[in-house]
Amino acid sequence: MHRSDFVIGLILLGFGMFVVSESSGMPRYANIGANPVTAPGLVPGILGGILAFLGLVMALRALIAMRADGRPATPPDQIEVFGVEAKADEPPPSYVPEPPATSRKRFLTMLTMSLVFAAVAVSRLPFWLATFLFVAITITLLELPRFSSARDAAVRIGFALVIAGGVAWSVPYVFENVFLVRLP
Amino acid sequence: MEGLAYFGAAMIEFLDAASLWNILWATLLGIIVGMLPGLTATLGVALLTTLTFGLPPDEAILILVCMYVGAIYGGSRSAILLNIPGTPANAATALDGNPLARRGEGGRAMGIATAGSVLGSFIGMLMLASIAPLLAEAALRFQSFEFFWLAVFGVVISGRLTSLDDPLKGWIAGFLGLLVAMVGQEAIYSYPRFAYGDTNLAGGFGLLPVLVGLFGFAEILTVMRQPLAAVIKTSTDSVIPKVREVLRYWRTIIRSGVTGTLMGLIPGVGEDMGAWSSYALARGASKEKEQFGKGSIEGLMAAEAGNNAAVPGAMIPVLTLAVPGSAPAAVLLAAMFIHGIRPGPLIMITNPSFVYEVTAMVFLASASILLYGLLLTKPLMLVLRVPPSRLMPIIMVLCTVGAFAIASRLFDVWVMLAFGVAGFILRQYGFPMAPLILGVVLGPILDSNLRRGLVLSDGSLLPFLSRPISLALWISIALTILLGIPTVQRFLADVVRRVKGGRAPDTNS
Amino acid sequence: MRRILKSILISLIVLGLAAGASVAQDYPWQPDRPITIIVPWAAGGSTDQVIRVLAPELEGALGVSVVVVNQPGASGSIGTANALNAPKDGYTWAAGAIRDVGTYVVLGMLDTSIDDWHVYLAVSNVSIVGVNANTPYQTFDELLAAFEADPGGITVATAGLSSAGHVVMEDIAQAVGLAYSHVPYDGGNPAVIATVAGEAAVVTQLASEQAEMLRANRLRALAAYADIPLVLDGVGEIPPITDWIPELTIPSNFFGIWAPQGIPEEVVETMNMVWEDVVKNSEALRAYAADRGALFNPMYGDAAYEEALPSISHQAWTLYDGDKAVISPAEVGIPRP
Repeated sequence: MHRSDFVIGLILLGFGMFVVSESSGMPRYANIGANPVTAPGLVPGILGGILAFLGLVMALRALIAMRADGRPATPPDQIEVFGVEAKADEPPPSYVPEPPATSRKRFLTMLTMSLVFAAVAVSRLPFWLATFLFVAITITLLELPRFSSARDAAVRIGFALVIAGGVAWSVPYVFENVFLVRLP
Repeated sequence: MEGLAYFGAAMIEFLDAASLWNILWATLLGIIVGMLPGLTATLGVALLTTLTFGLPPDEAILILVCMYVGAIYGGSRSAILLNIPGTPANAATALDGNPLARRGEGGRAMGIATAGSVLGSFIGMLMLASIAPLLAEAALRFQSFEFFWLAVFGVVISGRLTSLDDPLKGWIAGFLGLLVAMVGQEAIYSYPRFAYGDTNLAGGFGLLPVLVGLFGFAEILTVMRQPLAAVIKTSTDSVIPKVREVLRYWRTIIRSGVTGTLMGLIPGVGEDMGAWSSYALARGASKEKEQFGKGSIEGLMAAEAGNNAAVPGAMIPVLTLAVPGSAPAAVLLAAMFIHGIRPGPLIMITNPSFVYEVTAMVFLASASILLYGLLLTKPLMLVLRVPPSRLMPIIMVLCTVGAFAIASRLFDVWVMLAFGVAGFILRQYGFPMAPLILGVVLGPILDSNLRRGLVLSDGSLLPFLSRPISLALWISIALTILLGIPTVQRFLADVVRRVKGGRAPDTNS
Repeated sequence: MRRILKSILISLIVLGLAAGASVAQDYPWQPDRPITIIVPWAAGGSTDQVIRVLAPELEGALGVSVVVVNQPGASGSIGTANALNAPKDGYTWAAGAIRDVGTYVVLGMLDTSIDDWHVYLAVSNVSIVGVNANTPYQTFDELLAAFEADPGGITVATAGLSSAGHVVMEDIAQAVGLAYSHVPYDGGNPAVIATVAGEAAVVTQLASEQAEMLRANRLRALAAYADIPLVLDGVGEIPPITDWIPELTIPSNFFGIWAPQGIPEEVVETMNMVWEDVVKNSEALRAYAADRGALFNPMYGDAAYEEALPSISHQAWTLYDGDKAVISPAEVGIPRP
């Protein structure tokens, strides 16, 4: 925890300083007689400075704590995100026990499918088709580890298709006719 | 007295079949708009403004008020059930509402939120009916200097409250949010900051795509990353709030109602700050501070009373100054102009009954919220029984539509995705999301008011520090920060102990 | 009973269960799905209000829903660009002040000129020089004298650089040769309210934004930025600024809707007919304009084009002379007025 705080603190310090230097390069409109206090870079510059300071405080705090600990310990409630340890949100009070690899796989499935759906499929396919495919495939993939028999698999896939059909029909209908918004 | 007569007359006028039907469907539509991430009160009111153009003015305004009240209330449903606030105003609601739902007390949480919303809007309504012109004059005392401090105040209290054991991370999230708001054309010279020649970036990040990303998509990813929750059994859970449970916190309700109304009437600040400042005050005054953020009934009630009281609060400057207190109120004001109603300083002279008509509208909208609160909670609870593997893909579709809907730009969908992933990572490292989103809301206010204040004071910082309201605000900010630093907390605890320890022998001797 | 039926009908329309009352006449273009008007400004603003009055009129004439979408950002250039890049089928329109469309190019925001659009104008807004009622300035003369006595010391509130109010104040300043302290706000209404609160002394925003405060005597109107007097219901006659500065040429500030060139010919014909038959006779629009101190004068085709040109060149050159433009108007073929 302390080590990741230290790294994030340094990243924030660097980011804050980057923002300050970018802000100082913004035009000041002195040529049109503008009041220097209205320069566009003023507020982002101040904010960048504050962020850099807060990042520095966070890094120093983590450093002091790491010294005190002797070495950065990894408490048991931590999980890994993208290869760096992180503090997990508190798990629900009652949950299904499962090996850590399952939740990582589930997370990566959802992330990939969502990105493919929202960033690619929505602009290439008709909205209802993209939605149908996304919902049906994602539900099936997420439930894959829980298929217990061929019959169970058939029921679950059938369910996924029904939900996907319902969403693909109702979302465009409601949004285009009731809320009068355009869909991608 | 005269006001009461006007109010009674307006109530009688609205108690016919056509009006009641309008109230019922408009409030329900509002609740649905509020629940769906991405659709907000502003969008709902704007949509109905065009559609109700052909109706008589009072019917049209009635429908719009119902939509507005319903949407602010509806956002609490998804905040409690899914930890996804339907509108930015409900971010504080999620803090205590969602832990309750996770404990299997979702019905109770929704009942409490309903009670808070209804009572909050009643208090706001009373203030609207009794002292509207007075309050509007007070709102005029908020000038550039005060707006600047208010924006800082919002970020600081929200950062502190959402990250109680480590406020530093809350404040970092808040300042990141303020920086997100800096991207794009600024308000004075239209200089595109951090745009690097890109037209989309020059337009800045929309609040809604950022909101839907940080709360919606990031929440989906978080749910997937966590161990799966077992299906929650709700046998002991009650849907109808116990009167005693609500009345126990009458002080909180009144305080939050008044705070929410006051925040609502300050132009441009609106429901978000109404919820946050009520929540902060409730925690400060509470005997059960340690419950806050873990499922506090008091905190949930304060947040919902605060944001719903801001609705009639925002109506006060609309009616008496023709200045909107919040974004949806701006559309409501436009609708009044379109229908030939002239709100403004003269309304108490030219059209005094209208203020009380609006009061009656808020009353009826709140009453129908109560009705729907009782009717809809049971069916909504079914959402909790859907396994995440089936629910989350559907929510992802809604997030995508919600990000796209407001401006029909594909860029907004990418913004939603980017902020979703970034928000997920930040959350894993213990950074709260709510101050970030409040920072995005308050960033433009902070930016333009600081620079405008400096123009008005000719570069001097003195007015920022010495004007009465500014003084009160910056001292509160300084105290919030100081008291949030662990070293200071320890020092104070030490002093308190020593004073007590020093006094004890005295009394003995 | 009729009220009940009507409100049920409206709710059904809202829920998408019934089609809007279809009274479409025999126009050459028969739209079969909702038409979108992009308002590139926030909901509730000056453009938004006019368009939301206009939309039901078009709905009635064309027999389909007309949906108003707010796409604010980058001084309106983003929404306008989206309309320009939309399929050229007549189903997507942009709205706003026509002179902005002509001047995005000199501000380096969007490469478009008025020649890229079919323009339909509805109402024109007039700006007013208003002062806080507690200030000592009773007439425009006194205000001018005060500006001269204290160069750069008097605060003028506007909706920001290149806004209607700023262009007016620049115009006055350049004509008379005075200096003032420009206090930019995030919109016309905030600028007006700050002047009422006493934060700024003078405001030069649109009459529609100042109307209520003028009626309540919280602001005092000293001059209308026009060459004829402006009569505002509840305020009376406001003298034109040309009474004091006769050399000013005052361009109009027209609001309306436009679609990119390349839309089908029958759409253009239909809209011309709708503008001639319906919009020109719109009581709702006329009443709205009278109430907000705007001039009701719908125009289309060549008339609209001729009306728009001077306002575009005036705005473009005022911005250029104020060193705000990125590209010289001369480079993009906008002649100096």
